[in-house]
Amino acid sequence: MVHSKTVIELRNVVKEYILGKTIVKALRGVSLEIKKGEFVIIMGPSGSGKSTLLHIMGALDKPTSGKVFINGKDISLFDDWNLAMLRRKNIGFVFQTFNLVPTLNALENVMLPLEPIHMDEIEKIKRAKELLKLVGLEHRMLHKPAELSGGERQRVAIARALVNDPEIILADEPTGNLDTKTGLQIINAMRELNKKENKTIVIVTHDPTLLKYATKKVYIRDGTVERMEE
Amino acid sequence: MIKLAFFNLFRRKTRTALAIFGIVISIIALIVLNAVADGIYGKLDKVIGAFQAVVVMEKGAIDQTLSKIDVDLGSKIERISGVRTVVPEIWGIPQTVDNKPLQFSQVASPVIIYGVDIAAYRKLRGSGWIGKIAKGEMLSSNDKGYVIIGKTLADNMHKFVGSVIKINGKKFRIKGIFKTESELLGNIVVMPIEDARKITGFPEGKVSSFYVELINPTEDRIIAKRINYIMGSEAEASTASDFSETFTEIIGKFRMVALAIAVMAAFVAAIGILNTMLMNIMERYKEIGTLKAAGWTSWNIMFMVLCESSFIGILAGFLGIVSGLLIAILISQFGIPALVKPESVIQAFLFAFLVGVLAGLYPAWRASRLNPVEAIRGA
Repeated sequence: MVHSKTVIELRNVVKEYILGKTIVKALRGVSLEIKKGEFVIIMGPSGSGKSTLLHIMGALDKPTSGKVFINGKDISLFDDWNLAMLRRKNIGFVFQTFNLVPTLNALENVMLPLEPIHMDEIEKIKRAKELLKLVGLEHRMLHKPAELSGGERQRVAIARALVNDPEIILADEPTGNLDTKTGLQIINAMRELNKKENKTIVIVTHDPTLLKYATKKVYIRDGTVERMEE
Repeated sequence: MIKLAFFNLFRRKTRTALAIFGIVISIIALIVLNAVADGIYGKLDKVIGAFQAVVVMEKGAIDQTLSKIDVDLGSKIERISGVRTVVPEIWGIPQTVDNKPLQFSQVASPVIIYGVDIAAYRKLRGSGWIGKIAKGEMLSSNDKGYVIIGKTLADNMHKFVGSVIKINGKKFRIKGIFKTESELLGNIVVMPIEDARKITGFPEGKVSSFYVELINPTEDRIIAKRINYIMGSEAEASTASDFSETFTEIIGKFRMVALAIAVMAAFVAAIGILNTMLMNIMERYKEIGTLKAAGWTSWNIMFMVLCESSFIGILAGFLGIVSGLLIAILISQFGIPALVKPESVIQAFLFAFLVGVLAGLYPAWRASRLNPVEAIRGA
């Protein structure tokens, strides 16, 4: 029985990829439990399997074996449509390269996850504006990504991840493309979300300076959890 | 979703423009060729509607200007029951009018010489091929060297009653101007049959055809059958509905050719759209992966891509229709009949839309099947 406060649980997750004739083992039996409101940093060198782990936690990828529970539900039994619904309602993603749509302005980019949802257009705009305000970009909402700095783009991406009000935010190297000062601003913004909104934050990084902000530190190497610190 | 799909078209403007251009060509072909078909049909329909009689001409001749039959057959036809009056006719296309050769602009509505046995024509109860006399008078039997002309021709050549018109180098004085519904018949120069024979060099003892007025016009099919039975291989009788069927068949074939050309052009255009959409998607793997991560379903992605390709179809349809209309107006200035019907516009628009949707199906399916993780990596 999964504890009620556990939002993500991985049990002996194995992920293998087939590259030509070679089988690459990205994860070799990872077990992990993340509770609501935790600020988790997953550390590891390049190729350690940390991004794969994040994708599996975010229901973007399925494990080769093992179980993944989100809010107590075994998502390995979900089909593509149910996985999409789970991501829509429960998970927000932030990527290293921001992945904003260049033809849309900041406001429209934030509204993207709301597009498939039946909701009043005015409500969608209101919600997106609120989030841009939250990340301090209300004054830049009509600017296109090319007109924004790296830090601003990442804040737009954070607002986009939050627009569906998910309880889990998963970030893959969110400061990787930013300078130290801007990276710190982004981490602070995420810490605030964690504290004020009680969002569960999971950040994958190889930047050890971020470790001091974590409530849980997970060290991963060669597809296994090397150690964990609370 | 729809807005995003629309904006996506402007990312690679040249590529989108080229994809649109491909369909525009096929839509122009569809609009213009259909307009010409409808234009010709409209003109012929008025000609056919202008008479309720039977026309007897050489068996197998496409029209009266290409027909030659013995003038003696007239008396044979006259004796057939149900026939009221038989009018011998000579039809021809002049080499020169007022010393000018046939112009390209007259190809669709050429000036036609109509030589007719005036005495017989005057016996008709109906108006025959000629409509009402608007100005001047109808010809009488001894009016050699006189003609009456259609109003269209009179207007085009600035002719009045009393003016002289030179046909194949010979001068004729205009005695009357007649008005008719049909533009084709409005270009006719009516003259006594012997004058027509002289200026066209029509052989003695021959005429082009006979205009046969019936006692009861509704019996035209029965009388035509009767004439055909009696004439055997000598001549062939046709009714208005026979002409109508023949023209409908010819126009129908023309339409099929138009559609075939448009479909072939559209097929090439569809490959263009397919290629454009596939390239667009390949460039946007990361974006599609991000949308999937944000909770978009495969159907949402598919819908977005289909919207994009449909927009290409819609834009191309709109541009193709506007260009087609302009070209139809332009060619009608050169005398080629072109009539753009609302149903042709609707058909062309639906055609363009359908090409857009069909060409987008495969790219949309490909995009929807993308693995989100691979897509985010841009793989």
